[in-house]
Amino acid sequence: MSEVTPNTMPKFRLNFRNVFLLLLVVLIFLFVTGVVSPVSLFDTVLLQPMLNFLAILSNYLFGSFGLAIVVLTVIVRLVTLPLTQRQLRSTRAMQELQPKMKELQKKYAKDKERLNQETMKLYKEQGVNPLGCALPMLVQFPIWIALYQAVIQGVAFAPENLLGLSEQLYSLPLIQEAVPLNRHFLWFDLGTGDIFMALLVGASMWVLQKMSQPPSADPSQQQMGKIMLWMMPLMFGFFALTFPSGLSLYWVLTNLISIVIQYRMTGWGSLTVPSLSSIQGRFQQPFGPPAASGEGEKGGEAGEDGAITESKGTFGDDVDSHRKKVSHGKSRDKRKVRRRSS
Amino acid sequence: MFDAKRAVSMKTIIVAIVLATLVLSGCVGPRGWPGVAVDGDTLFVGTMDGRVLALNPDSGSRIWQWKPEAEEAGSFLDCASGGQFGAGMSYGIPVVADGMVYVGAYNGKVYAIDAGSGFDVWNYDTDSSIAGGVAVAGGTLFVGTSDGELHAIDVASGESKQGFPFQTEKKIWSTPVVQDGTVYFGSLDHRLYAVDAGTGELKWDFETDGGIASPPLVVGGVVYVGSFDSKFYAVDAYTGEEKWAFDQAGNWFWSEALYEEGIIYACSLDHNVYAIDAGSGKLAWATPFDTGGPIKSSPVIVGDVLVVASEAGIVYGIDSDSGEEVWDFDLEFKVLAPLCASGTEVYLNAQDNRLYTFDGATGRQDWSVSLVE
Repeated sequence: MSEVTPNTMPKFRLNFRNVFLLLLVVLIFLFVTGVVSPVSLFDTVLLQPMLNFLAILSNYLFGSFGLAIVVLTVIVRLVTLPLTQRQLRSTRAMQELQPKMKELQKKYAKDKERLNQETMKLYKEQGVNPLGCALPMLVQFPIWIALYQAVIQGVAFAPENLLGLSEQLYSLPLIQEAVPLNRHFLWFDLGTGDIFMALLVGASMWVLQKMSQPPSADPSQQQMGKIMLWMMPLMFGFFALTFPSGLSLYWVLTNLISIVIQYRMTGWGSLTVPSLSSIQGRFQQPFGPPAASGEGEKGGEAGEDGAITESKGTFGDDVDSHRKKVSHGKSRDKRKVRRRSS
Repeated sequence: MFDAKRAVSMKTIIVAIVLATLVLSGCVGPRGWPGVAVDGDTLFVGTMDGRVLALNPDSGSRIWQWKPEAEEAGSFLDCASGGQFGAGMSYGIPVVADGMVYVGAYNGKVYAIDAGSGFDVWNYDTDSSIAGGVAVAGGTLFVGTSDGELHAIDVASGESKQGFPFQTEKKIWSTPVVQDGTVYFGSLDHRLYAVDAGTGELKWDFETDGGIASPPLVVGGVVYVGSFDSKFYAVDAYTGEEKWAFDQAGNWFWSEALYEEGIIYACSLDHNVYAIDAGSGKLAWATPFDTGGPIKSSPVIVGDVLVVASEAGIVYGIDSDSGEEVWDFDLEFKVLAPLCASGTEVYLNAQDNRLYTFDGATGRQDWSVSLVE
């Protein structure tokens, strides 16, 4: 009888991260060996299908390239929705761990190795992957870039763009007949800059930035947050003014969809709505201060962290806490139990 | 130590940088593909930044230089309107007639420049952009615009002629051709138009399944033109009836075709040069000639050698009877502008803003000159 030795090889799990890493390794191998060029692979797999789909959509949507951009943007954002949700969930989970992280930092300030071990342990216990917010975003990037490139090439505002388009379109009569794509949509020309679209780009980006910014007690982080809050909308508003409005249409739409997703996942976040919060405050006054009225859990977190005070009394908190109770009730209960026992 | 807040801020900064890079990289603004014209002992060539140069055809030395007014230069970030190259850059060949050089520029203006001195005499603003060449016949200049209008300008006064502009549904990026009192031109609205040069009235139009950006070729009462539907058409110049359609190409036709001894030489963006029998519309060579790259530039013929430049920058000399390669060389720069031949000498304005000359019969390269200011 031969002795059975335990298998010491780590077991390969078929999860999102492993599949992504495996694909990445295969791609790098193909690029390094010169079997596939990154540009041609990107064009063949992502850009060309999107561009041709835009042309087909344009044909079916009354010859309107603007409507085709709207529909394709919505489709792409719906397809990548699970990845977006995953990314937002991970970001949120990381934010929720901050009070415990701070405790650990305080406790093991002099022992970096132990701090790392305890941090990893905490991640494991809470089921949080520190790379969880970065990976889904990395996967979505090529898709967004392809959509962006498809829009800018489809608009073909210059002869060079139209010449480039000839290499990307499939030789199907349905597609070839659609060229050149109709550039007029609503009140603007998709091929030139438009001031109103530029304002919409800036405004929608500001709202999204404001919603997705985590509250922070750290002055340097607050400063950074303020810079980003204004820099991105101003920068993209300026780009929108100088670039074809087809891109502005894509940016506005994708921002609006992101705002809806962000709202459904985390509520209004740092975006305060003064009129609504003051109404909320008036309703809460007879029952005492807002922190003590039905916001116990959130108030407790704020107390521990000392950082979430900014989100008190906001419209977003109500939605947020309600969603937590409905969707994540079980997991939240477990966390409460663990917190108490520790 | 992993700090979530710091990571989120870092993530935002990275996203901002990536997006900004992405946005700027997407700005492939217009640069133009100005052509070359030879008139007597002077060579006229357009540059990427909108200037027109008069050169000595033997040495490339400059005789004069003309450039559009300074205030017309665009800004670096003005992507949609042409960026830093947005001033007077051109997509056509300068046309020389009666001692004047005429150029249509992407800023929408047509310039009339004195061929001897290089001073501009007048300019005409179409209030659009011009992405094709101009045609001059009988004291009138014809030019199409991105607004879909065909303008007719009196070359003596620089004023618009009565009955024009003629309106089409989409951009006119095709250089018009005038013959026997009729202006022939294509539009991206899929149609080939024949318009009365005197009155601006439509004589006929011929519909294809794709946009038409290539200049028509009119020979012996037949108009030959390629379309974005990957077909090459022969149309009766008087009635607009289709004579034949050549449908073996796999991509668009954009460049002007060439006629020589009953054969039409048409270059396609599918990388091939097609020799088509002008009478029957059948392929005259055994197989098309594959250049390995899309062909936007128009060919020229020197003796029995057809000279073709692919977009990839490889220039070929092809036996016009058999379709066999005679010579080739690699310029290593994109070629989009039409070629120009004078005697056996061929002039080529490449996308590196340099003018190259070579012997069309042998492929031997002569001189080249930078067109940078």
